[in-house]
Parts: sequence; C-alpha cells; structure tokens
Amino acid sequence: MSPIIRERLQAFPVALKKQGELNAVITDTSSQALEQLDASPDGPLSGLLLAIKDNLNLVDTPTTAASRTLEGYVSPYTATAVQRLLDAGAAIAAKTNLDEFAMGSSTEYSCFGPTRNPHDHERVPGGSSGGSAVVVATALVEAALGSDTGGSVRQPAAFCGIYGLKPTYGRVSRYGLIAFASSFDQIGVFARSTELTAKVFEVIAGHDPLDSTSADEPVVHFDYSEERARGLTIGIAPEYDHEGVEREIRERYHDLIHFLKGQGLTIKEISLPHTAHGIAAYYVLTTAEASSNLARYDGVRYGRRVHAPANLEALYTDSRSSGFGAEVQRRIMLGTYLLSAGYMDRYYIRAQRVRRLIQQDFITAFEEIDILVTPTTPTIPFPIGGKVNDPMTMYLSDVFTVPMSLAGIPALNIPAGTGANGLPIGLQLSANYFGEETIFQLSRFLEQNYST
Amino acid sequence: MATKQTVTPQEIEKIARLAKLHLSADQRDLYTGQINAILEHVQTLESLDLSDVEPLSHVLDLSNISRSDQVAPSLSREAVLANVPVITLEGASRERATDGEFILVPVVLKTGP
Repeated sequence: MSPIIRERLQAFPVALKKQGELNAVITDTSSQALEQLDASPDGPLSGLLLAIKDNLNLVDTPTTAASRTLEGYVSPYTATAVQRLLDAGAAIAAKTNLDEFAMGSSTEYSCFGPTRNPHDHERVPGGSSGGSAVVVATALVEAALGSDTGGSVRQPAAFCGIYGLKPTYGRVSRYGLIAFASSFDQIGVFARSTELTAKVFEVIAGHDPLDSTSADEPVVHFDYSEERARGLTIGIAPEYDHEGVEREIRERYHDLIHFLKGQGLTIKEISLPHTAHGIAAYYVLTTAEASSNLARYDGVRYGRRVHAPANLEALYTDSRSSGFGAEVQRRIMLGTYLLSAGYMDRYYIRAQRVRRLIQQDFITAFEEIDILVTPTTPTIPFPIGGKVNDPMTMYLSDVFTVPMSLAGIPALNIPAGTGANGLPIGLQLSANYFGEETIFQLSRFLEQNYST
Repeated sequence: MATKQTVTPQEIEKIARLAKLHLSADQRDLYTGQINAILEHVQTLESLDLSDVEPLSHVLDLSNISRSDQVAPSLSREAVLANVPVITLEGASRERATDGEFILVPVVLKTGP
C-alpha cells in the first residue's frame, strides 16, 4: 500500500477544514478509511482518494440524504457501487452534501446548509450532487460518485469545471442508493480527466443480482484511439442552440463544433423535436415516482420519529412533516396529486407517452450520428438564493439534461474553459444506449487537442 | 402573469393528508401557488397529439425479472434494531423504540368493544 495515501488520509481532516466555507462534506470518513487501509486490496483504484454522495450507503457510517428525516440512521450495509470502489482498492474519505433526497439543482435544499461554488463562493455549485463536484474540483479527492436523475451529476460538473458522467440507465447497480425516481436514477462519476472518469466507471458498471433493473450487458473497456475519435460522426441539434442559452455558452459551443469540423470530423445537423416538452414530462414522472418512494419514511423503523404515544396517524404525519424540507414536501404533494384518482390519464400516462416520443427522437438521431454535442446548461452558475423560492424557474435549469434522463442514454459533461467572469462552461456529449466508451473517445480527443 | 388555478388550497390540504403531511396555513398557500405554476407548465403537454403513442414506463426492454428461490442471509435482527428511532419520553429521557425484540409503535388494534 502506498505510503502517500496514508499521509493524505491523515491530513484529510485538516485539508477539509481549510475549505470548510464551501460546505461540501457532510461526514468525514477518512479515519474509517485509514483503519481499513492495511486490509485494502490492490486494484485499479489503489492509492486514490474518493468521495461519495451522501445518498449512498457505506456500512457503519451515517447516510443522511441531507434530510432531517434520516437523523440517527447508520448504514447497516454498503451499496454495490461503493463496495466495488473498495474492492478496487479505493479509499473513501468523505460523504458529500446534496439537495435533500437528491431533489434540486443547486445543493441549496440541504438540511446542512448550501454548498458553495469554489470558483465564486456567492454562487451555487449546481446540484443535486454539488458536494461531490466541489471536492473533485478543489482536488480534495481524485474522483467522486454522485447520482443523476435529471442532470444531478452533469450540471454540477458543468458549474464546477470538471468531468461528470451519467451512465446508461441500468448500467450501474442502484442497490444501496436511496431511491428518488427509480426509472431515472443512475449513479455517476466525477473526475478531472477522461481517463479517470472511465476507470471509475468501469469499476462500478456491470450487472448486479441485487438490482433487478441493472443491465446484463458487457462493459466495453476504454482504450483511447485517435483514429477512432477522428472517425466519429458528430450531431448538433437546433433545439439546444437558441436565444434562451447564454451568449458565452453558445459561443463556446459554436467554437468547439468549428474546431471539430476543422479537425475533419463529420458534423451533421439532426433534429430532436420534442426536447421542449422534456421538463414537463420529467417533473410529472419523477414526482410521481418520488411520492411513492418516499412513502417508506414513516418514522417507525429508522430515522426521525416524533413521539405520539396514543396515535399512529400523528406519528406518521408529525415525523414526516418535521423531517422533510420544503422542496421534498412540494414534490411529494405534486406526485400524490398527479397519481390521484381522475388525474392519472391527464398527467401521468400522458407524460409516459411523451417520454416515448423523446426516446424515439434519440433513437432516430443515433441512426445517423455517433455523439450528440450540446451545452450542458443554458446558464452559467447562478447566485445562491436566486431561485430557491421559484421552483418552476429552478426546474427549467435542467432543460438540456433531462431529455437524456427520460431516454436513459449516457451523457458526459466535459469542461470547456471559463467565461469572461472566470466561471466554468460545460458541454455535453451524449451517445446511444451503452455507448459510454464512444463518449470517452471524443472526450479524450478534445481533452488532448481542444483549447479555448 | 397570473397563474391558472388548477388546484385550490382545499385540494392541497387534502393531498397533504393523503401524503401524511401536515401543513400550516402559510405553507398551504405557498405550495398552492407553486404547484399551480408547475401544473400550468405541465399542461403544455396537452397540445401534443399522443393518440398513437404507447406509454413508456421503463427505458430498457426488461420484463418479469425474478431471482432464484433461494434462502440467503439478510440483515440480522440486531442490525435492524440498532436503527430504530430514539424517542424523547416524559421527563426528557431518551429511549430507543424497541423492547429488544420488536419495534414499538402506538396501539393500532384495540381488544373488544
């Protein structure tokens, strides 16, 4: 075992304290990692310090999901993806801050307070996996896991200037990940290079008997080939390039496409006509799934319980009302309404039909192209407090990431320099189902050859 | 721009009851406005002709995944009871809601009339 990793784990609490203002970490697990270091196997991630989002279970550590609802809960088991990191030799130093139950786009809806963007402390780091993005961006750790339901890895990666992958739905086991919207949730990876993003992805990917929705497809190993990268057909879509996108982001996007064209790659304009309906369909389906998934927090078996000795109904209601924050309550209520008798066809079934149209858009597009290149976000990181009281505006910040989540295809944020005010700009590479390795080829090509 | 009122504050109260949430009057009014704004956006989907489109519930072609019928170890009783909530009793003493064997809840069923 490398002596350097021991020293880094020993120094971790001090390093963490130095960036305490960012509020990126909920639980420091470095002492536990230090204790287990001698027993840590040699593997592809040996010698690396990693962090995980605090909606992933790691045995004998609290898992909070940034919610008062889970106060007192200590994980009795380890999530499959996290176990695979440990089996590959990684040391897990921290569990990171998030929007409560991963519901949010800014890491402001946390019972532990907001996480701050390292590039500008008055701005959000994105969310919901904001803490994981920040600890990677500040080099406190090499890589981190997040979860992405509608952009919660890609958008914070864009706002913090790093790589952030949402794999194909079902590519990574969700066993041990706290459920938000089960037909969307997918564990993803943050890192500062294509190479390490791919390496961590390959460790956590693959079928798991403990998650019946995990896909039984082989994981294609990433081996960079410039020739392959240059042979890719790149798609661009007008639905992601319009006046609603901030000028600096559009300019960078055009610059990158121009660069690829100059390098001889084939650029094809395709159309994804149902993109604009993504947000509406996404918020119907995910709040419906969330209202059902979060019914399990009843105050009985674990987590927060408000004592109500004579009345079970009051035990449920008082425990849930005082445990869940405003955004989670809002989504539970919206989902409960959408699924209630008489509204199911009007909202939920309709949204499922729109989901198919969006999937069909992508299937048609990927008959002609290998990689779709788009901006990851329509705006640069917004100020803390700017959108917290206006949920609909907050939801619209996910407009370029939810379509891939509705379809379940893989997508990667790549850092594409900074704008005039020094804030990061991110662009998104998407591929057909199980096309992660193709995405890595283009990402590595750009990492080596494109400079802003 | 005024938001269309699809749900009333009374309906929000009913939904909250169904979801086992208790709202203050301020919360009820705040959520009513916010949920109506979201529903107004959601209603833009009604402009699409979807008569020929099948609903999509799951993106991968998976159906009826079953595990083999084998007994395997799961969490021990000890591990489960270790997470039972701690409650504050009269006199501010704090206690785990378990008798060491079961999880304790308020009486649900009463005997006899």
